[in-house]
Amino acid sequence: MKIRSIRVCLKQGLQGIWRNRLMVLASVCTVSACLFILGIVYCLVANVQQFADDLDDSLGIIAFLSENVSEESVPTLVEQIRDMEGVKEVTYVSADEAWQNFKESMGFDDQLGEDTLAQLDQDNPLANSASLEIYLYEAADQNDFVEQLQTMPQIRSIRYAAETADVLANLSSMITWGGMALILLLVFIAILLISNTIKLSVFVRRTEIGIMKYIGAKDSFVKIPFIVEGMIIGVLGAVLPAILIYFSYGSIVNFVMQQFGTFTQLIHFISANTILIQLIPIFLAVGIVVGVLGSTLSLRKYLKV
Amino acid sequence: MIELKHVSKIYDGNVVGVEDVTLKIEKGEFVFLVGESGSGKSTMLKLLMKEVNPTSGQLIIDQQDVTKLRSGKTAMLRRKMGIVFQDYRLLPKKTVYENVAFAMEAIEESQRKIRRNVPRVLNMVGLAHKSRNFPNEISGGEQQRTAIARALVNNPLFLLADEPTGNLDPRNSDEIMELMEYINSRGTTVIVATHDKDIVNRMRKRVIHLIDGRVVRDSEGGYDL
Repeated sequence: MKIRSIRVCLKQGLQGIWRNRLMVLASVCTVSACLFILGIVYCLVANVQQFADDLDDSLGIIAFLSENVSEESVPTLVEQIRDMEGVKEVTYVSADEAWQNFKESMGFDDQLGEDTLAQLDQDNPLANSASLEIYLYEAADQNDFVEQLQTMPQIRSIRYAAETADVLANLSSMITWGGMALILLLVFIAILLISNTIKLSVFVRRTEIGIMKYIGAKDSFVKIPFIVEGMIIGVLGAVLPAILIYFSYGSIVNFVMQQFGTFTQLIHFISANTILIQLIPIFLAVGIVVGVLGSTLSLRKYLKV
Repeated sequence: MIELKHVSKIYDGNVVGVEDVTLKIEKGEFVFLVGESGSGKSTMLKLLMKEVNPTSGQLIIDQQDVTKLRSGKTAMLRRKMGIVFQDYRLLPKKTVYENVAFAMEAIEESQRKIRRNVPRVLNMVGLAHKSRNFPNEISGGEQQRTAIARALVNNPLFLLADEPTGNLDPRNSDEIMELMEYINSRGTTVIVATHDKDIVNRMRKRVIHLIDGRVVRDSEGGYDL
């Protein structure tokens, strides 16, 4: 195809958009509405997923060391555990540090209390409480990991949130799969709706397509203006809901943060910017792919003249 | 230039379009295809436009056996012909000028050539003053003349017209046929399918009469000899 033909096709596409603006508006609205709903579900799923991940990160395992483990052998042990599968972070907490942490957590604010605790400094009540704080990439793997730890002679006892880890594992996979299924379903519905609208817009212009074919236009010459239109419909249909979601999501998050201050210390919302950055490629991909595919597939029938 | 050798077209359900048609149309001829509705006139035109393929037989257009033509080459074949329909088939959202220019754009002609040829052909069909109008702003006769201008703008070897006067009053019909005759006088082969007896009788050209898909007469003269 010649360069000037591409220019003509682009011009035809843009003219087509202007001259069929009602149909184009209908298509853009359908694309926008579908992607907007998709966006809302995405925001919900992404935030719940983020919440689960936050919780995941905060669930650690505390492994108390046996009395016969010397300070010198600790680094080797830490290395050994760090090399185990799924381990994200291992921190050694010595008996002294444990005692200091305990004192801080007691938070005595009078002199008497502090004095009492200070007297115990020389005779650390937590002398046997040297421990390792272990964080896994996936809290859901805790049960299997603990089984491995229990076989190690250096470990005296283990404390971890077995039930929470289980619940979290179930919740996390439920959200992931449920969210994915919902998003896929919505993408499928969006594709159906959008391609139907495009089909309708191609159907309205079947005479035009027929004339082009009778005149002796090549199939590519007939297709390209429609593909250009499909792409523009896709882009417009993607940008509008992205902007709408960016502002409405930002406002909702701000509102929640202001109204429920304490609550928001526990949950960190994904920022509107991050949501926008994640959504734009998804929207553009769905919009453009559906626009282009919808146009091409709908045209096939009318090209057989 | 156009040669049909024992061409038959049988549609699904054993419906006969045309049956065992053998004829030749030479360059520069003016031919009427006549017959009642369902006689096979439209099928003949569809075969020539390669909208349908013959079930059997051979169809040669401009020394090319079009029965063996791949579908991708149909566009090239159609560039050799101008097609005029009863219902004009103009693009309603393009002006008269754009409708004609569109035929040149579709075959990827340069803008310079388009700017030169479109006014010339519009002038020839007497529509230079309506070039900025949209189809719904002009009369039926003018719409048909626009369609003829579109068919002619690429200098086709032959012009196929399917009931070109079917939607027009007698005065407009006469004007359209005069235009066809003028086009023919410039060397373009013209094939007109019609059942308008008056026109055929007045023009006294070659008449191919079809009944039930078969050629029952092929000679010069009026509709009924």
